[in-house]
Amino acid sequence: MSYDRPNILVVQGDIVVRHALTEYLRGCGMNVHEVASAAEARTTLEAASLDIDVVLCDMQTVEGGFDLASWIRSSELGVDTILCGSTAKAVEETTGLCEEGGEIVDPYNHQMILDRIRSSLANRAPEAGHPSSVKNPQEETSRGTNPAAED
Amino acid sequence: MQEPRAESKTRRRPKVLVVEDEPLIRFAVVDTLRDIGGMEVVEAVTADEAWAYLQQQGPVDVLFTDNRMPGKLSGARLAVMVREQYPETKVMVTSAHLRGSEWGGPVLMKPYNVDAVANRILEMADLTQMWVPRDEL
Repeated sequence: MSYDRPNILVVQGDIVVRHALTEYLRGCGMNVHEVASAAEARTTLEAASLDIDVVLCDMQTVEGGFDLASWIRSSELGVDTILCGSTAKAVEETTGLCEEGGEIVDPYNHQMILDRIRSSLANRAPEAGHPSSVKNPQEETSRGTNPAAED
Repeated sequence: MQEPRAESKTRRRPKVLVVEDEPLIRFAVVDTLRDIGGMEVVEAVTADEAWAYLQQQGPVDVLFTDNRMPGKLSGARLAVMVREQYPETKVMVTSAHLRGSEWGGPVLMKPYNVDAVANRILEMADLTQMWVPRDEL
């Protein structure tokens, strides 16, 4: 694993969606770890060696996703959280958890997710030398397709 | 100079499905495989999830699965189901305790060395020419 690339944790309960998204993000030059549950996400975040920069959590397929996001926010981890899934909108409206626009509604748009991660990383970069630059497969190939869908 | 490129384009990357419910163990295995490259690595956290993936996406070239995991299916049961439905898939089960299991195929006992796991998976995926043990790097 390379430590000069941003470390992203994808929390998504649907293996097909998760695999397509994580392959896309890896193709953009990120270190991506993937888990299917909030409990796994906590285990991962508490493993100091992984040094996660951004958590991307799907609120629709992950039971306890809201509690996970709240726990991350109240913790000393310094990890940015992006919420995905249609239920995230309701969460935003009732709690303000996504006050800085960290919510993406289904269906997933990989480019939109990439842009949101880039934004989070850019905001983090001045703090402690966090990596902020990631590739965009579309810039390299001009094909506009998801590399994860090639097979 | 054109011919080798055409050949490489026609070769499909082997797909390896790793099933392990302990995330840090799973990360160690899949990160090693991805560092080696040359294959598509799919991660499943339970045998149930792995089976759902196979039902939706079709067979993989190699299945490497833990045995004891949460959910309805054990890794051994998943291995038997894959062998029956996708006989072309090469399967290995890993476990600390597999006595009396219905799975009669290859077993890698836990605890295992991650490099040894990668080596076995590459053998099954017919990618051994890509593997250089870390102590030889």
